[in-house]
Amino acid sequence: MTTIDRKPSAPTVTLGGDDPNHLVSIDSVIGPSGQEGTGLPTTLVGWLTTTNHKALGVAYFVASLTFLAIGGGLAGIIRAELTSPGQQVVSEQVYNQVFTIHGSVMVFLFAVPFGFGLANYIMPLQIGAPDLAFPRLNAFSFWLYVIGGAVMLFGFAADGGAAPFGWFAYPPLSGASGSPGLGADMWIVAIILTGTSGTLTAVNVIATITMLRTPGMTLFRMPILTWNLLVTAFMVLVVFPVLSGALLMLLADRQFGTKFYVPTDGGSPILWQHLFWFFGHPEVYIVALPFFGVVTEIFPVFARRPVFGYKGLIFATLTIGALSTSVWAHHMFVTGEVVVTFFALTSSLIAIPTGVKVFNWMGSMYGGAITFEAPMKFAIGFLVTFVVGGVTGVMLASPTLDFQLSDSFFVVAHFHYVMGGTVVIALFAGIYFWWPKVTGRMLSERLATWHFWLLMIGFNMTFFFMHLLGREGMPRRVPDYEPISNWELWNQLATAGYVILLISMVPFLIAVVKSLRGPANAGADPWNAYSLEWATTSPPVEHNFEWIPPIRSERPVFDFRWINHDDVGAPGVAEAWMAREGLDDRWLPLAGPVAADVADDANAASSADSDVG
Amino acid sequence: MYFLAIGLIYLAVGGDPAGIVALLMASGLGGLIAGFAWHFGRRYGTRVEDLQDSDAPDATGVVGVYPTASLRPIALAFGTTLLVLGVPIGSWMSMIGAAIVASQVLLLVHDTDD
Amino acid sequence: MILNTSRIALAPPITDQANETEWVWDIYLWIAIAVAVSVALFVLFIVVRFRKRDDDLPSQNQYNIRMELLYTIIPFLVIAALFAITVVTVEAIVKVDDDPDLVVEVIASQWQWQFDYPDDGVRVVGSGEDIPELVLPSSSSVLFRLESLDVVHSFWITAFRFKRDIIPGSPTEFSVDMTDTTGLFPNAGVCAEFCGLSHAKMRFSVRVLEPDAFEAWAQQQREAGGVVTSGTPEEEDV
Repeated sequence: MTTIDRKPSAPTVTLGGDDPNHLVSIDSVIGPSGQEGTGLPTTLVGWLTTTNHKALGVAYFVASLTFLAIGGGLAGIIRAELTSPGQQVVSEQVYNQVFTIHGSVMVFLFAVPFGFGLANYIMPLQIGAPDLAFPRLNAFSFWLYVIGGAVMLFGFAADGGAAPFGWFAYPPLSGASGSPGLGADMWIVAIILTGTSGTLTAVNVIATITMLRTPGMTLFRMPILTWNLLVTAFMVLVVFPVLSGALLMLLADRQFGTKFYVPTDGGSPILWQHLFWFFGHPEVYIVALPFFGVVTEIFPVFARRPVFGYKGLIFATLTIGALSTSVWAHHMFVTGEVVVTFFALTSSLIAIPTGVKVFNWMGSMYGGAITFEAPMKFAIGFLVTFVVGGVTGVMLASPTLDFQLSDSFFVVAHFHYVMGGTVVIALFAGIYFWWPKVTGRMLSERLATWHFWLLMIGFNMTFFFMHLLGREGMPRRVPDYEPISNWELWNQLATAGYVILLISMVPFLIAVVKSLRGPANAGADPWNAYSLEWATTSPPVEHNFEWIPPIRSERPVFDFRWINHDDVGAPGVAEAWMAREGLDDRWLPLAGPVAADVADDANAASSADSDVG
Repeated sequence: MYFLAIGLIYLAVGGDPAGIVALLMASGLGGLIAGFAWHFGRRYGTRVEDLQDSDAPDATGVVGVYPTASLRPIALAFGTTLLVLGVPIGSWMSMIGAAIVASQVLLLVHDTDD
Repeated sequence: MILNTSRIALAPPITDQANETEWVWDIYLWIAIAVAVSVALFVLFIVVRFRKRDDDLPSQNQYNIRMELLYTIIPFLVIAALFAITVVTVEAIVKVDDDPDLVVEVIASQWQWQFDYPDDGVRVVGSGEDIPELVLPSSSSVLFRLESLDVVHSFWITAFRFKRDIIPGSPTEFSVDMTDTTGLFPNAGVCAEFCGLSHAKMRFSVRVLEPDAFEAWAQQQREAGGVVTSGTPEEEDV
């Protein structure tokens, strides 16, 4: 991967002490963290007007987690209603609004924006950029998303309540006569606004990744998270405008009397389904890819291995991105108006690059020296959960089975495993991983263990039994069901699982409060991690980096830690370091001995002795 | 192009009209993005970021100037929301929204000139 | 059947097509379980075997092309086999019979079903809380013509292992070959596509009679005026 030939007498540097086997810690290079400003605003006005990518990243995290709490609360109403047959908790009318907004909040206002939060906060740090390419556009996107989300929720206050037609809003039900009421219009407006926000953010992400990488950070040295965010951004550019266009037509049907989707006047309801799912299925991967990226950052660090099959992973991501735009009609197998075998093939094929990812994650751990800090626990939990959702996905990709399972609780179980559970579990893996970077503080490992096990038990209990319900014929989106054999029991187990899920958030919230009250003593690189964000202080300084290590692979911090050793890090790091001689102190903070005075045999070490772990 | 190929295959297996149109349109969208990337790749040539053996000091001095905090983005977002929300609620709201958007865009341009 | 059917509410398959679906389901299910379990076990193995024991830096080997090809090709073969099964079965399932023994016209509207038997001059409609009952002859081929009067509905009979969306403005049809199973399947039919306020109440029952009994039923209803407004009484259970 490098153009520099390694000569037998490759020069060896000795950094940070006389011991040639010494591992260089980032803290010793850049000094203690928390000495300078964090770039985060301290006043309300500061937060409202900021254009700093880290501040907006934090704002994205907070906003999307708030929407997660709201969506989770709505899910509680659904579970309460389904605990027993008949209608007890809410009316049909309210129930329909609740599941519509639950789905819309979770998809549009929680899952996608959290990925944008990662793109805001983590991505520029990973490529050594000082900010996103267009900071004001970024602030505009964020506020468009938050205000748009508020519009959706205020639909509940509208006359007739919020939108009652499901998150995919099939016309004619979503049309003017199917769902009169301002709430439905507010839903459409909200999705248009958040969709526009997403499109603008995607432009910003692509511009940043293509133009603002630090020298040496070639495309094939970018961390997988950054790669996945790049592919996600391209997918957003292709499909979000389609959704916005479809929604504008729907709005025009409702407001101006056009007939795009009105069957009685030559319009076509199926057109909406095509347009919506052309957006809707790539959307699943737009949600998932950033979180695949998160766990790909975590597995190698805690297994002390490089990410296995780096290029294969990138290729798999690109393949998923491309394939995902030609699978949409598997949501429409049961319409009888699409060529089922074509879409069955593309939908099944997408399992292959996804499988490659799973194997690469396992390969990254295989042969490693694994420790189980909180991020790793959640990442492994993600892996196992994701495979369950993956295999049911292959089942649904077969129209033969989909004719039975479509629109049943089996589908509900499937997409909560792939979109709900894995996203939430990987999200917490990411939170535990980057919390020290963002706040400069650690989270309690003991509370994290409680959080992890309660979350896993609660999640699986909630959603596993839905497979059985669906297989037996319980349809989606019903507030009421027949008390057939075990349906009541399974629904009660699911509700109990939901309660456990809810309880699992308690240790997390306690840990957050405790951590924020404690001292900021995490240091720059608490996990001995790999990518560039760990080469700056925690929290990072105003424009992210005062100093950047040489980049010769996708894990510059690892290479730098092992710079005193030949044969461990990527080749060329020591040479690049030597080449900095003569530059000012900013580039060579460890001015100490930079010399080729150590014999090669002393450090042909793959047997490290000190700081690992 | 991926979409073009898929679209033609789907045409060949006799898909429904909407599916074919969507896929071919998508090939257009994809082509637009790819063409843009290709064009700019040519215009800029190889940049220092893409060299295998470059190091951070090679590009010192191009860090760039970053905008200060600004009230414009949130105001613009609010105005845009009113503008669109006015479609179902009433044109008075759209007009307020349009006024906010117009004024904020002007101010934003003015800010940037400073 | 995988699970003990006596405790499971899943209606038994009552068409040839449903039987097809059943064995495809079994194959997919076992492969899915096998994959999920083996991945979980392998992860468990890795977690136990490769936990950190000392301070040695583990192998930093990043690529193993042979391995990567292997785990691309094997899933591909599995997927190809499953796809082949799907193609073969789905053709049989979606094929429309040109010369059916019986035609049933299904008309869906918010939130009620109507079943017309044009050859017999009989119409079954639900009324209020009473859900309608779809009566079918066993051992016959039946063609369903589906039409919606307002929004998108979906005609789903669990015992068919099949559903079909009914999009307003685009009538659609499918056919099944009934097996010789007879019986009453209460609440076996539902609307599967969300269709508004009382979506959950849009159900129907299915009763399968011997062909002779079906003829007798149709004649009896025709003589009684041709319009059935609710299910036949329980004691007539077959």
